[in-house]
Amino acid sequence: MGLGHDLQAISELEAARGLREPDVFFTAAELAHFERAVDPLQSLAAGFSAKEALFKALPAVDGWFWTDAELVHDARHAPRFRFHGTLAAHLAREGLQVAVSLSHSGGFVSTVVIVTRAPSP
Amino acid sequence: MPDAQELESYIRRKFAENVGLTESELFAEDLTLAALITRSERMTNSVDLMEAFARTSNGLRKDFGLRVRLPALSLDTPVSKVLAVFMGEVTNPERKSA
Repeated sequence: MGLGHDLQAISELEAARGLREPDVFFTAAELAHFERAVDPLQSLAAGFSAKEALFKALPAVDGWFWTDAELVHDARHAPRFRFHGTLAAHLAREGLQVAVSLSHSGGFVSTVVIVTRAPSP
Repeated sequence: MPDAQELESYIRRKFAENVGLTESELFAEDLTLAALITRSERMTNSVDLMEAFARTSNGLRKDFGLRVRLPALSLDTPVSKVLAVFMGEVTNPERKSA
């Protein structure tokens, strides 16, 4: 099992224009989701924080890219990761599942990610 | 299309510009990402670090039409490893921008 936590000041993302180009750190779909949010900067910070927490929770996995971990939201707006590429292959091979929880208050975003063994089929 | 040597030179120069250090400071000592944040007066955290690499990636797209995804690497990674990943991305024909 792996546990990762990240605390991110929302204001620190204000000047980060380079990170807002698609398929560099975020996917195009993630960036579109941030832009549609009530507070796009807060949403961008949440996306950054979620990936940082995921990195801390994962065992060492070589050769993956930040765009391999795409933050998506279900019908109830609950966040989860959709994995691609090297990272998706590793998690499937090792039988791992990932849960994420996001919260924001007072100019900060806090994220917790837990990596656990998937139940046997 | 520039050759691999030109691209490597471009990436080294842009890394240095974007992190606010000289090329020799960055690569002669092969600084780790943690040391790079400490040494640079322009950077204080991982947002600054990713932003510096993202600007290099965006420059490659703008100037050469090449797509580079940012690698997920720990802070004890030397900058030469980041350069190697960037080179792997720009020399992979499938990563060419549409």
